[in-house]
Amino acid sequence: MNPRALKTGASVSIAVLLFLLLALSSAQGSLDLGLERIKRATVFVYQAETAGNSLIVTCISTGTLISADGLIITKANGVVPSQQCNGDNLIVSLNVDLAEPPIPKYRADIVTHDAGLDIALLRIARELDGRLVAQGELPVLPFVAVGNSDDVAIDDNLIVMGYPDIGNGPVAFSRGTVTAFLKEPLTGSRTWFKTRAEIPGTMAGGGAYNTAGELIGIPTNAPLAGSAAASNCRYLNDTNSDGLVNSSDRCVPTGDFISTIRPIALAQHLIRGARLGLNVDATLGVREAEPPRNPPLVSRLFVAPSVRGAMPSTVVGSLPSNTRNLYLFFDYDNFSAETVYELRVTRDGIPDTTFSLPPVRWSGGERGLWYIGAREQAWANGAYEFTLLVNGAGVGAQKIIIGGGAEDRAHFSDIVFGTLDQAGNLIGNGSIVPLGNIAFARFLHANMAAGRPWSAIWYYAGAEFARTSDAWSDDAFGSKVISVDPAGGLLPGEYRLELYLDGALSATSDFYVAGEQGSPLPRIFSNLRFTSADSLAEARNGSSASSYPSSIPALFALFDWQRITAGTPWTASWLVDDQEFFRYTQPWLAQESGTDFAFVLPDPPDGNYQLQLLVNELLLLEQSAVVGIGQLPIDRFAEIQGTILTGRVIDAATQQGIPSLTIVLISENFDASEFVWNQEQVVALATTDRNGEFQFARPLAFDTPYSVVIEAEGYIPNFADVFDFDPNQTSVDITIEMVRG
Amino acid sequence: MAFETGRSPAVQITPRQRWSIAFSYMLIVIGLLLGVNQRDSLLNQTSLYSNNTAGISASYPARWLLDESQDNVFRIRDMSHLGFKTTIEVRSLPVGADGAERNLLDHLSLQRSQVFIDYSVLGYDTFRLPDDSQAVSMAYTFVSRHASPFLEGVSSVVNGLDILTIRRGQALVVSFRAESSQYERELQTFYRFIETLEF
Repeated sequence: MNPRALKTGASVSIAVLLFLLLALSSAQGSLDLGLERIKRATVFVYQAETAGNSLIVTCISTGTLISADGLIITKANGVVPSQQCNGDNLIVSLNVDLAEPPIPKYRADIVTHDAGLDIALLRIARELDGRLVAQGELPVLPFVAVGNSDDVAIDDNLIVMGYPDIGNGPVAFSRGTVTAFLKEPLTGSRTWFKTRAEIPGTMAGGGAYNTAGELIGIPTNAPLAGSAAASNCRYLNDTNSDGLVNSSDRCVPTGDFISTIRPIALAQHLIRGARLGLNVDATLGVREAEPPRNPPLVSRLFVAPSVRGAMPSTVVGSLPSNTRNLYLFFDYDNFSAETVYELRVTRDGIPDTTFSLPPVRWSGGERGLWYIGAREQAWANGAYEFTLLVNGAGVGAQKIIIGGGAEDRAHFSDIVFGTLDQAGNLIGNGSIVPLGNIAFARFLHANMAAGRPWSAIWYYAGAEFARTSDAWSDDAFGSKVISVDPAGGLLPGEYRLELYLDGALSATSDFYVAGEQGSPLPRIFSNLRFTSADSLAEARNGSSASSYPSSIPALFALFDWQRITAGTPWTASWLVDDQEFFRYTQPWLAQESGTDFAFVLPDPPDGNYQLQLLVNELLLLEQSAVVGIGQLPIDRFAEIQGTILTGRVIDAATQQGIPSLTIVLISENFDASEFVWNQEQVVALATTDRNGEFQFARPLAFDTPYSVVIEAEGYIPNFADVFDFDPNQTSVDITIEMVRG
Repeated sequence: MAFETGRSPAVQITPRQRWSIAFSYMLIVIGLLLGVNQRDSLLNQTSLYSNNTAGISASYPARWLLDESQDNVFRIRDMSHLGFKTTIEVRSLPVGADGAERNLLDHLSLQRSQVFIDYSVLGYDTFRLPDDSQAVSMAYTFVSRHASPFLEGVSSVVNGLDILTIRRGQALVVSFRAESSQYERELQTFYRFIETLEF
């Protein structure tokens, strides 16, 4: 018989079978399938230390696949080597059977991380035995869509997905609602989501999802180092080789139940950089910051009703009923990303879990003024006590009463700094003052009575250098400008002004003196330029340009700086096509003035790149350059929509699965009779396992007529045309019979 | 009850019937021969690959999947094979001024040891190409595993053979890989491919 006739006959049967099975499977609910997809994308991560020929588990985390090519988002604490988690291998267990524990399948590398945010991006890079995953050999993995955490509102429902055990149980989820937003001095409007969902510590690093199934946050925690008693800890390995696994061994920290979720918006730049494979090197010629040598200190706790920039508007000792904004401020010193801090809030002596912050990693650098609070949320009346703990020990407390009517109390507020123009108006940005002889501060005052004693104290680098005390002689309401002119002029560095009323702190704010006088902003950075070169030396001597061809080896960004003192916080933000992919915020560590501070971006893909330089979150200088066509390439796998096609191929006579058989899915541009066995016509290949089961892990487009071809030794060839999926079919499972011939 | 037994009279075949039987046998034999011939022609049917840029052409078994999307010049795979898909791969490599065939083969081994499970070189030899020029060959083995982590994939032991020659400052590597149990049989396909290879 003609082979084509054989195929034609067989095709009729398989086409009918496929259509019947597709119709049946479409009845499944899409919600459950969305949940199933999230479960499949949830991975378990072991951090393990190499000890001789074996691996000792040091830390565990849940993680989530966010791209088809193996990009995983998880918490940094648990995967990034640290004192507590000092492993050098990351083992990724995949969720193969949703009802079973995950199975170790791969090893991953850390692509990028932010220890303060407690977020890390991993990429599957090696097989479980340590071999590199061959190019193109990693199957398309299930992944979840990243949502917009800025759209989340109080009382929104969410699902938190993760592994509630230590790798010995299946994936699980907790349902809950968003109960509060907490805010710290980080970019974005929310620093933490609070929830009452029951989240075991081992689910830290997993995913929090909105009702659309989009990833909107990462639950994180910070088990205390070396303290098995203080936090949940499990003994998994015989780390002391005494033949027993008991409390004499080193335990794996899991932490207590979690109630905080890091909004995904804060990690978007990390995700974008990792997805694009963009790794900016910011360490060229910069010395490493030394870790603090002294124990962490906290001082000067006070409460403010609102925040201006990162500074308190005013200082209060009580707040009226219906208070919706409250921030606890404090000074800190000797902190690091390893520091664990916690805020415990009580109201009338009863713990208030809504506004408490469980132990988390510190994200604020070594020293400065910090705040944590909540805005546009109801604070019930009562006597509140805020207790700060650092590394498990109490370091300070502050009380405040909320209740009663609003008082018309005298107070100062809203301090801003700058210089005066010729007309006597305060100019500048409010928080950075250029070098000169004199700095001015303007503040608001209210309900002031004449003769009331007040004072202003100025600090430089933490030490008082000027003080004025007087009786109030201005109007009751209005604004007032004061100044300071230290002998020898203003030195670059950090300054502080405290305003007191009747000996009590009423307002305070910090500012920096840096750079030369500019218009309107201080000139701290200059000569920002891009160049392409093979080395830093070549880049420093090269000429700059605003556009470069595709496939340049590296894009260098260089700039000069003047009069910025060590310790001044500054930020470099890299953007591509107007999307931030790298953010570098550090205290200034270089000389006070200099030239050719450099960043390098190796192998930049086509795109429109931009570098912004900021001090104290204020944009001072920016520059852009175009590489190639000036637009990022389109990622064809970034599209999550589509159908996951799975199934089984069986022998028609024995009804047994046929192993190692390949199913060819042909592009919609061809039907099966036009297939000439060219890879260009192939959309995807799937090979059956030992049970005859197969899976096209790559989502297949909806409403697209695919064709299927199966040829196997000993069987009559099978093919089917017009094999498409409607948008309700997010997952389809089929069975194909093969006839011996 | 009694039964009668007896012998039926002998059946006489007419010459016409004798010819009919002989003719039927002949038809069966011819049919079988035609079937075998058809099968052989189907099995030995080839397609022509030609790459003017690389200056390479070859005939390869029809119904093997041609793939030019990888880093190789091209790759063909027998997708109908159950188990490891018998593969022939042709690619060119740059050659340094001091590079010899053996250096290139060692370089390939180093690369493969990073990604192939239990990769091991079995030996080196010389190989005579159709134009009577000399090439070097390297035999090796490794384990191939089903790629999907979500299925119960099975591993196959694979034998491989590289033929490497250097022409005009470029090395051409022709690699053949087949499941160990099928290797000797499939090797004939590879030799037929080599016979047609022009570069």
